Amino acid sequence: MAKKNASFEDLLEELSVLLQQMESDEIDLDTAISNFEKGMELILKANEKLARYEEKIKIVLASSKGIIIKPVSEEELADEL
Amino acid sequence: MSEEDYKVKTDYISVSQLNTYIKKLNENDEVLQNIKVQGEVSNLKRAVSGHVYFTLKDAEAAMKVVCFRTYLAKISTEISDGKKVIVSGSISLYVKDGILQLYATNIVSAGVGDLYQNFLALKEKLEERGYFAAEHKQLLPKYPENVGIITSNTGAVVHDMIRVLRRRYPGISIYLYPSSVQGEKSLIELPAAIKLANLHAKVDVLILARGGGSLEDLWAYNTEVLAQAIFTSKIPIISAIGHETDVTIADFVADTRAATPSVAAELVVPEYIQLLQQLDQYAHKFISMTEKITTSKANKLQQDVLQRLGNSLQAKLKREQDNTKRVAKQFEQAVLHVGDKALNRIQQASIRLDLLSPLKTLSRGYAICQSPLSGKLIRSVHEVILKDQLSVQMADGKLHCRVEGVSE
Repeated sequence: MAKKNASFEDLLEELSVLLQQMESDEIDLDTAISNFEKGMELILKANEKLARYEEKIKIVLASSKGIIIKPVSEEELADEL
Repeated sequence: MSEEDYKVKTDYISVSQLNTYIKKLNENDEVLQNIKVQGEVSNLKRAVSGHVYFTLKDAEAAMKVVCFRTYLAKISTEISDGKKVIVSGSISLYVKDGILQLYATNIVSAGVGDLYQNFLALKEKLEERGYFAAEHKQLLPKYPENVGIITSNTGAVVHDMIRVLRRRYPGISIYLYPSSVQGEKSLIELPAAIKLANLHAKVDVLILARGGGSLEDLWAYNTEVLAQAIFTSKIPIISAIGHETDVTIADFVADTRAATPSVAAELVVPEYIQLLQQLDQYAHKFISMTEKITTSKANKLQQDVLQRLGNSLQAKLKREQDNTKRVAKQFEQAVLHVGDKALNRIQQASIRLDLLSPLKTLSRGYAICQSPLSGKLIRSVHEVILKDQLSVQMADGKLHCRVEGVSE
């Protein structure tokens, strides 16, 4: 089953493994149905993942106190032009 | 006018005449009219008119240089104090101040020739160390969630890239690791930005980008320090430095090279729509595969059931048949057995019958006396009266008799 924080790529990889199994002639009905269920779950997860991305730009700077990350809008960047 | 006055008069010339004379001397000298001079820029002044004035000097001497606006427009080299340059032009005297000046028609960086040599030498050295080898190239992630950009956070380049990234993948997370992209600072800041991104360990891929420029402008991308930072980066790096024709050491070391920053942005992220379509395709495949499998399994199951049912019926039938046969056989045997016994008894009986047979007795001379009407055997003289008819069975025939007398 998929890792909790599986990347989109992991999810697709897992999906294609499940599909490959289903394309094999030797698959039994139980496995096929279980693969179908798993596949649908993975697709939902991947979809959620795509939807969850938040649009953001952040500037990362090094400082004596460590890494500073500050959000910046494109407009703010434009102001610096 | 005295003679002395005349002498004096003829003895000297005016400053203007002198300067004009010197100017002419210079202008007649072929060497001085087309000369290249190397030195360091100092005292740089940009006049409101657009002309540039500076002093070109080396350790022991200095020469004033003027570069007029019209020539300056064609010169791409950035001129700054302390910079070593080669100035092409002609020497002339500025009559008004009596100063010899170099009138520049072109200025190039004195380092360029050296820079190119350095570039080649470093390229060869790093190539030998395997910095460019294919086996060290990391694959770019197919579906990055966080993209890092190392460039100046001002200027068109970063905006172009953000625009492309967002067009392809709305909502992509972008992390900027700002750095100077030319000049002394960039030599330190560029490798530092790569190290910072690795330390931050947030982005899946880094774009090292810069707009076009001269070899000199791009020099920070040709240093060993940067090459090393790229080579040791755990995060895959795509380089997009300058125009397509500009190739830097960083491009050779990077995991992938893009022709321009916008192209790098295109390469780095997939198109969002395509991802959605891909997921959709997966879903369709799953559904159709499952349908196919369940249908074929159902058919097979049906066949199996029929087959098994058939088999079992057949088996049952066979069992029944076998049973029937067995029973029949048993019956037959029983019958035979019974039959044999019966036959035996019949035979014995017939033997006995034969012995007891009246016919045999008759043949020995006995006769059977019967009433001809009832067939009743007459066993006693008391059973008849006079004149009764009797039938007497002999071995070879019958006598029809009448009772004439009875004696006891």
